[in-house]
Amino acid sequence: MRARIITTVVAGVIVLLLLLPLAVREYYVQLLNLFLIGALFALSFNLLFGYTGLLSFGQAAFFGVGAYSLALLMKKAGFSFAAAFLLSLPITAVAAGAIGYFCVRVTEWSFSILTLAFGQFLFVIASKWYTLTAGDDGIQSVFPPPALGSSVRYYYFTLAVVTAAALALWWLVHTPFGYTLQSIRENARRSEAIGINIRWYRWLAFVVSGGFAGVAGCLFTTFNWAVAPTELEWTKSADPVVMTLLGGQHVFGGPVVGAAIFTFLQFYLGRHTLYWALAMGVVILFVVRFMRGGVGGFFWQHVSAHEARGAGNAASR
Amino acid sequence: MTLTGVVNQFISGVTFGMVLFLLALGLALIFGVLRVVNFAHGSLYMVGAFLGYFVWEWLKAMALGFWLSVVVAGLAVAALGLVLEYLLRPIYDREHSDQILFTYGFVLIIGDLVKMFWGGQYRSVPRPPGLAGRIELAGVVLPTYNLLLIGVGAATGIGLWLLLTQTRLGKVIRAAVADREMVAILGIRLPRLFATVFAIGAFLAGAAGMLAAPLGSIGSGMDVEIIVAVFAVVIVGGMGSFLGAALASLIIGEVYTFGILILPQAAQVFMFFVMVAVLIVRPQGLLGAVER
Amino acid sequence: MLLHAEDVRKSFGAVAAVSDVSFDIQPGELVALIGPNGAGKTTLFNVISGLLKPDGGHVVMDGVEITSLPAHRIAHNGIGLAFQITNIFPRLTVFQNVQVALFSARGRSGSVRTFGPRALRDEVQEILVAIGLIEFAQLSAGALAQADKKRLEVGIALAVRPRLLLLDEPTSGQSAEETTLTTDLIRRINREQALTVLFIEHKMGVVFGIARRVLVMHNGRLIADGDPQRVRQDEQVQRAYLGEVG
Repeated sequence: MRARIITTVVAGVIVLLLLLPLAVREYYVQLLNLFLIGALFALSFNLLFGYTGLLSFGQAAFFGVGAYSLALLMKKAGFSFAAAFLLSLPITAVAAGAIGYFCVRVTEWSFSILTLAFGQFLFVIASKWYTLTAGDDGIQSVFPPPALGSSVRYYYFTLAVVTAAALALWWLVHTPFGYTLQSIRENARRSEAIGINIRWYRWLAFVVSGGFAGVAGCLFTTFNWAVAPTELEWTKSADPVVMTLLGGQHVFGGPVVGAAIFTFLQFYLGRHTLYWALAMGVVILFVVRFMRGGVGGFFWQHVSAHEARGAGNAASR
Repeated sequence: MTLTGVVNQFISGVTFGMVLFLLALGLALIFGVLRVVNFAHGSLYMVGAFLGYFVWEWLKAMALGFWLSVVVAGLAVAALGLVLEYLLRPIYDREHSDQILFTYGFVLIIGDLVKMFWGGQYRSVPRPPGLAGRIELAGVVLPTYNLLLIGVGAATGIGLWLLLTQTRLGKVIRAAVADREMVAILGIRLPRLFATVFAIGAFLAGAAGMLAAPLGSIGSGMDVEIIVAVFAVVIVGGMGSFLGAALASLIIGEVYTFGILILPQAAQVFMFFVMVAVLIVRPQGLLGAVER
Repeated sequence: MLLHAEDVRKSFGAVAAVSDVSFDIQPGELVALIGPNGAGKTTLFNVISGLLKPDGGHVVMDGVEITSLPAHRIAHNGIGLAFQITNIFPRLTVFQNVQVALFSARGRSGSVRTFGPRALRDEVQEILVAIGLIEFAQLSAGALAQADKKRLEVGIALAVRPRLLLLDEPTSGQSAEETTLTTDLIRRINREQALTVLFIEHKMGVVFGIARRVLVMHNGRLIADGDPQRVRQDEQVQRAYLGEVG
């Protein structure tokens, strides 16, 4: 019953996303594109947070590594878009692996702080290592190949990549690997006692999460036609956090819902205020205090309560 | 590099370390009693710096105007700390991730509020008159203000230690760090204790902000810069160790200061390497207790 | 010999929780570990299962020195632990709680090829039936009553397919009827699955009902080891318990 509701909703959303660009102006197509990129970014964050219980404030680092890798490979090394895109993935994974090696050695507060610090570290590199990254100016004129030259075509490309990635993540969290991560989140000590090497699995989660964040970064670069150090700033790392909290970290689709709310909020409010961080901070305070589980959690609870009532009436097996 | 140069750098490092020490103390105090890591501690520091700077502009004519502005900054930030603590109350019983997120929210909000009130551009704060010069100590010429700051920092550290060991409040604080429930059973009102401790920590952060302002420049972004450094101190020294914090503050302070000579734009990276190295070799910090 | 403990020592600061404890457990035994509160029983369990590192001594499991192995490796060496304070995975379902342990036992924790929800269903259900929680399979573990959580504890420990099962107060919080069910379960798995069991208990009825051998700890030391009836009459043991009440 619950499965059927979910499948219907998801199918509906996909159909909507497929058809909308044909009906709306280019500006909104770009907005949708931004939403999709944010959704992937948030989903990657939630693999670490919602599923493994690790709160990372440095995901922008991997978003940035992916974004810069694509830009640098295309502009400085002359790779084609396809080759650069594919190469960015292992580059980001290696970065995530290196950084993750240190971060998973500590827990909770220290973990969050360390991810923040690493994020800052990479931001400093991106801004100051002029010869490599062109510093504050960033890298300009990074265009997608002609086949994806229009907003609509690039949108469908993003949709394809994000859907594939989301499916992969969804599959992942339903495998023994995914359950292992969740058991670590629920009770690390107990997991250890049943034979799970928690450091190893946390590291794997970190790498996978970073990798997908990197893909989001790549999609962003050729969407934006440029990449700058601001993509690595610590406030950028707040984006997936807010999206996930808004949408709900305990539901797979939560980050997607949150990304939608966030993107459109940013669009409407962003035009009226420079103080975006302030708004995000207030949203975080409000959601953590009053809306635990976010919008997705709220919805999920209702569906579950409905189902429990139904199951209570049915005989066992 | 000449001897004077090296000693000067060393003193700068100690000075910066002293600032970090004050911040680490406040953070450790708040963590010890409230069991919350105040991510916004760097933000409080920044508010202290900005507020102090503008109060001083106003009080420039007065003698001791600088010191007055330090105290005002400290008190104002302490008041802000009370507000934060009040907002945090419903979150004390929640999971750690909720607490982390909440204080993270504070960082975002305070950061933008500072930009809103005072603008984000960097300004430099001149040293207070009378202390802007240099004095000669054992043949080496050293900046007066730095030496004074070291003195003030040490005095504060000692004062805090005396507070913790000699006064009733201090004993209550130490008891609360060891066993919170017991303290409540003994009739101490926890909410008031928490508010007091948070205010003390905030005062230290705000005052440190103004004290440190003449050393460099103030601007938006200093909140994150300093909090990463403070956390580096806590990670290197081990949370909960007074001596560890002192030692680590010195180490991080020196690493950063000498790091500026090598990579002026990115001295933070050295601080970083120290932190990471400690994490590999001794994850609980140099003098911290083993996590088990 | 399945488990060999030799001169195991563990102190917390100035408190010696475990001092020079030595004993052997043979395969197939059903042994009770008793002693007044604070005797060091749970600490000893934590050392054996690797959650704590001892300050001295050796623990050898079936010929393999496990003293300094990390906890997760010790679990793969055949030791299953059910905690005293229930330690389950609250937001996972009862089914998943057991399933995750089974995956680990099979070395499949990292598998990304199986689509999980129904994997190993038969084995999971077998365990759930054994511990009497089959009707709650799809319920969140956190929603269980305390006594049921305890049973789930045992179930998770069983799922690791241990050769030595350490149960820390398996009947705590259970009614007389539930206690009987649990003791039957312990007796059954010891006999049918030839599972060696070492359990901590405070209910003497349970201890003398099913244990064939009793170890007694007091102030961190092992003060008696042997046949239940003899232990019961041991002077030192009586003093340890009566002394505590006084």
